[in-house]
Amino acid sequence: MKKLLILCASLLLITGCSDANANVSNPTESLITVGDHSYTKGEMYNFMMSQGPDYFVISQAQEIIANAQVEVTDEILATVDETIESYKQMLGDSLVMYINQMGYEDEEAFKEALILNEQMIIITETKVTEKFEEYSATYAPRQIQIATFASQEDANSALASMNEGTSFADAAKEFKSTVGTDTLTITNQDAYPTNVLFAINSLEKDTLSEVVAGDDEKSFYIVKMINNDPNEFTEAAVEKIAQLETIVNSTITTLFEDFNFAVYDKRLHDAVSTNFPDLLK
Amino acid sequence: MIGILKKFWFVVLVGVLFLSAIVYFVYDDNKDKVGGKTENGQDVVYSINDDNITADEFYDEMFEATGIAGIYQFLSKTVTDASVETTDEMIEGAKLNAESVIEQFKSQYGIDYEAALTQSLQGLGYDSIDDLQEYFVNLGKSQMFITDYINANVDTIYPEYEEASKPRALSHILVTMVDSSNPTEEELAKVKAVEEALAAGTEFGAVAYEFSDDTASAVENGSLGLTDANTEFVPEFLAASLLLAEGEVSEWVKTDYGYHMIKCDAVGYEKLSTDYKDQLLQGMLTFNPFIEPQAIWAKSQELGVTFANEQIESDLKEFMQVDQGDAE
Repeated sequence: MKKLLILCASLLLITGCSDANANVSNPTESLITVGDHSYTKGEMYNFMMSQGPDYFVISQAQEIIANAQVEVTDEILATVDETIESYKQMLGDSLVMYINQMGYEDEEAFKEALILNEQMIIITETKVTEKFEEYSATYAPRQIQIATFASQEDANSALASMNEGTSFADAAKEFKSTVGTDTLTITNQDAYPTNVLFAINSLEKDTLSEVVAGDDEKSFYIVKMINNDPNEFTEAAVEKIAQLETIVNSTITTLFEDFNFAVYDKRLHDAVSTNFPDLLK
Repeated sequence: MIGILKKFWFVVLVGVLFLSAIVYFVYDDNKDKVGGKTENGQDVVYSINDDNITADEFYDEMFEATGIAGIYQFLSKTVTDASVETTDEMIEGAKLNAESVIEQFKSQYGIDYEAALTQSLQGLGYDSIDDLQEYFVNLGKSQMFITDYINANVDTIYPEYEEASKPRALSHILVTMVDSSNPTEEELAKVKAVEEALAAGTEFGAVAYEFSDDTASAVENGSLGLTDANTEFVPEFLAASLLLAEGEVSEWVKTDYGYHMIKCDAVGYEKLSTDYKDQLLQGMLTFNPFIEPQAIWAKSQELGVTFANEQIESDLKEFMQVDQGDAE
């Protein structure tokens, strides 16, 4: 009986346990003193833990994962340098201000973020390649050309010209298509009008659609199916699917699971739960 | 044993149920709690790929990104607190502001207002809603500290601002037009009426009150308050207004709104600081956002400031745009 009562009391004591809050090892160390007021390392730590620590941790963790999965090669560095160069050409002296506005302290921090981005692209594309058959069935990648016209008359004339043998691009240009006619790799997640998506789903390779009206019936489309077999344009299909938000998010979630991401601080846990709930087991 | 169980089965049943309830209660209460972890005596913040990131390591990384901002926040609060006396008026004003903010947050966030407000305050270096009034007291003291600093150093601060930004008090009379390039007869008639009233000797403000189509300023006798080169006026209006001397009235200035006649009511620190004190302060701080940190630094030297190491001091000075020479 006595043991039973002790057991019950012990169990009740456990309910009084609070969440863990990690703290620095020397919280009373002074960083700065003004007169007789000091600001300690512990106070600084608490301040920083209120400044969006979850974004910082997720970014740090992602970097650890990326470096474990993908080596930073000369090729990646060259791509990143090219990207920065193109920003410099576009923005000139405003580059630093632009970088600061994006939340990066300087060009070096921006470069690190771009490297991480390249690594994540490689990781995501690898995952998509591994599950290519499954993702192809789900997202139905296609290669098409599409021309958009402001009037049905122009669209009808363009289609007639195409059916007589004029190339898609030439006919679209002649009848004032409002968009370019390069070959596009798309998925069923792309935002096209309903009738256009229906046409894309039903076209065979190397065939033209009829003139299709947009949802508002103020735009008119002609679609040419270049290729509806993703196995014939695997690289482009992988690249396109890997850009889909759901794929990017699920890749990151899976990575955090595989790498056993765990949080041992209540404040950080609450922040991550709020903004990145899928990343906590 | 079995005999005892048979004899006291009801008591045993109650005991088992009670124990089960306690076990479930303990489990339910603890299932969502965040467990801690240590490595070599140091608290672990998070782990990834079996790597434990300790609080010390996390601190070092975060300090690089946000640490100096926190140190500046502390320095600013401590210096202003030591420099400006807390008055009953400040406390009363802070109390009203705090109540108003709480109502705003309640209106915006509903029952979650406390968490949202606490998060906002923590981002400013405070702990909880209980500190909200203290925040407003400190804000008032900070504004007073900066005002006192600028007043004490106006001979060095104001000339640079005046030369670059040309602050002045303006009034205007607007005759709205559908197309100012092709005014209608009715619109031109109003333009003429304004000109005749001014020619007859009527005060600019009175003419603005009677005729101006900018109703917001018309009730203030055409006054637009204090403006400078950073004020967001349409370019034609701004350019014309910055050329005026005190008391001067422009010719009609054409903009997309219509025709404006602009009067420069006052220039110079003495007049502007009397009638447009807050706007002038804001104008100077917008022109030079480092006035405040420079003021904080100067006062901190008087109060005596020491740092844990040279790197913190150097990084803070860079953050505050304080040169080595300013410290001496």
